[in-house]
Amino acid sequence: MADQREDAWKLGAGWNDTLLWYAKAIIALKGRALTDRTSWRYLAAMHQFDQSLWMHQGIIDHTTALPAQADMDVAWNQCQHSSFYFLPWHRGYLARFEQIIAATIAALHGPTDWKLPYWNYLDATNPNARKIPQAFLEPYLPDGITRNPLEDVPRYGQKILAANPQLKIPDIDLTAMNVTKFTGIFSFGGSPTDFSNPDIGVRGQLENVPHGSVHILVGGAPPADVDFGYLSRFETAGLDPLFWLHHCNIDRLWAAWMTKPGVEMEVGQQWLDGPSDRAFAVPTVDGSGLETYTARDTLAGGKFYPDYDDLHAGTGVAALLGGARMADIVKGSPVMAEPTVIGANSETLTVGTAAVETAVRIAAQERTALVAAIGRTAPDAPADEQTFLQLENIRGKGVAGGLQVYVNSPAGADLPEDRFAGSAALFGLSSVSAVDGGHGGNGITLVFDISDLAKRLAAAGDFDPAHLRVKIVAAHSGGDADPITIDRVSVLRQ
Amino acid sequence: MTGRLSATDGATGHSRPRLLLATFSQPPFRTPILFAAAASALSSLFDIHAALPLLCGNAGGHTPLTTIAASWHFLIATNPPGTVLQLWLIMLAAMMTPLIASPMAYVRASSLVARRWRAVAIFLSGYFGVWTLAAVPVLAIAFALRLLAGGVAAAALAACGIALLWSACPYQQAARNRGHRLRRIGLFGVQAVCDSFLFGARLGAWCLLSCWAWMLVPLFASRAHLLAMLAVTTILMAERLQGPGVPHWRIPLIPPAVLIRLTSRTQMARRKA
Ligand SMILES: [Cu+2]
Repeated sequence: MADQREDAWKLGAGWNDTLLWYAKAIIALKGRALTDRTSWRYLAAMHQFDQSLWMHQGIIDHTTALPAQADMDVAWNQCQHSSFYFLPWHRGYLARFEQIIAATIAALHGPTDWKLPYWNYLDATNPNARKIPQAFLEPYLPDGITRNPLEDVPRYGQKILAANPQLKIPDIDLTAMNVTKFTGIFSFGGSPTDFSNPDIGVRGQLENVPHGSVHILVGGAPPADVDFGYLSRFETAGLDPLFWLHHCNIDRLWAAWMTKPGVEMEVGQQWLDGPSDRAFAVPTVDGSGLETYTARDTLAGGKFYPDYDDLHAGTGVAALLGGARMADIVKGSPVMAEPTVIGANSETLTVGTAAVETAVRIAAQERTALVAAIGRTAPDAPADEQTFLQLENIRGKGVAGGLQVYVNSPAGADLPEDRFAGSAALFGLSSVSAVDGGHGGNGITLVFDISDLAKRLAAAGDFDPAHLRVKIVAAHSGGDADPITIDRVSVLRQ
Repeated sequence: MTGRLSATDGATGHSRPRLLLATFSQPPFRTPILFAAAASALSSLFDIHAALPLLCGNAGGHTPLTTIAASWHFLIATNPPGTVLQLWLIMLAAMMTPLIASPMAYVRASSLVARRWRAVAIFLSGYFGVWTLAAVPVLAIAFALRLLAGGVAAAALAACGIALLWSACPYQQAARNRGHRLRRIGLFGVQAVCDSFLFGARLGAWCLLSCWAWMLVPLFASRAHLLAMLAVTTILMAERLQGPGVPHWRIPLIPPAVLIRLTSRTQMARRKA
């Protein structure tokens, strides 16, 4: 074991010390009462808790005592999605989880320097990278009689990550790593907000892919899989031991992104010390109380700053010459210009199992500028002139699923690759659509960069600046009976 | 700016109240708060209580139930509806505008740049339109409360009690949740107009349902009128900023984070003992 977080696949095939101790610690945490702030279930409820769902899934029953209401109000249901707090909130959550597991292992007379490993699924140099690490698939611990908690969870999706055409989720990739801005409507980290759980939030590109995709691909979702695994819902994700290795890799991708030359990192006071309405909370390592943190604590020198053994393998970030570890970051200006809307469709869309097409009309006064912007060839187009497609407030009763978007695709069932605009795994769909949940009921808003697609369409002579035809295909558990709705499809320009 | 980003970057960290103040001094809150301040000034110039003598007047003391019917007629005669409505709207503008800063920003961002102000104006007409209609039932409740309670102080106290009870109740949380819902705003033509108006009106309706009880309180605060308005606005703002949540009975006004500090301190004390 080492002082740094390591690639789970490089710790040794099958059982290795790190994962075996992880399993033993989980058994200990599972034995603790839900009211114990260091218990397995309490830690998972910090992400999201739903009493009736947990009862239904047998995670708790009528006799289970819940913590004090104030404890639940402060520490539970904290997960930050669709905002620029997504990455820092999860970083603090992971770090304290790691410390609690490490303290438990030490108390079990194991090593004293345990670190959370990461699942490096996009490491092209490792042929096993996309496979769930073996220890998570073994039914028993090496003793052959103890049930393995790493495997003993509902997980109905893939064991080897790949595209899932049935769920309309394409293969994961590292495209998000190329986004230069941390904050914004189209950004690496998510849209800015003053408060936790904003009414209006746009998912960051990393949160979308690979983060959301891996949740659904591994957790599983009907109609592709028999049921939803723990990873497929906000409310149960933290109960799957693999969740923590997945998020550790997402966190590492953020750390790697920070070393890329030219990225514009968020440095606003609001991000560093916010949100304005509350402080994020984690239990103290001994569970005696709660402790607050902000994004500031997750940066270099902060109490939750992680240390990874490698920021290059599987991150798409090239190793720097001369052994420099961290590039200078261009700090984004505090007030960032956001794209403005120039076109929209004319009705709320209802998407069941069949593809739906909608016409997006571009405002007459914006067409000339749009044509001028996409008329430029990619290399000399200024980076700040971009065209985006926005899917606003995607809501659904279905728990999860996937969605793919095409622009100006030909009539018929054909969905050519060169008309592909973007995709998303609808992770958390029902949670963020519920009016009486903690997420405001405004669903998911997605933004895709279609600048290059628009240029390709123009080059192919298939670009009418007055109208874009947007085709959406989705696969979700609501099916035709409970279709997803999309309030508006709009085009933005910057 | 270039350089490494570290935990000590940009001063030593801000306290939450200071951060909150900073938030309110920036968009989308700045303009609505300035607008509200102007309305407050206006509201104190034309004191609503001067126009509503029976609601706030010190005369009367205990009013026997037998005289209530007569009082009703007296009330309507001495409180001209036009004046009351005007003052009601000024008071609302002062109290409600900051609360709807985010939905206003949403309407703005959802509209073509050239039509942003128009869209916001239409949205506001829908929102305050609902509140205008609400003047009748809310003021009726206020008068009834005043008559039943007897004195102004008793009525103010009763209003606070009702408001606290309503804030504690899960139905109020459910109403607040619905006030966070965003709706489609069409980009063009009639759609753009109708959607902005309906979004405002629906928001107004849910706002009314969640805030009506607290709105009674400043109506009885004749001397500390502005102070009461500010206090109630602060309470409503805190509720709005807490965001949506699962409806359940709660302790009103005290944020859970404060509660936890109190309870963990008692736990520690118990552990030591
Ligand atoms: Cu996640």
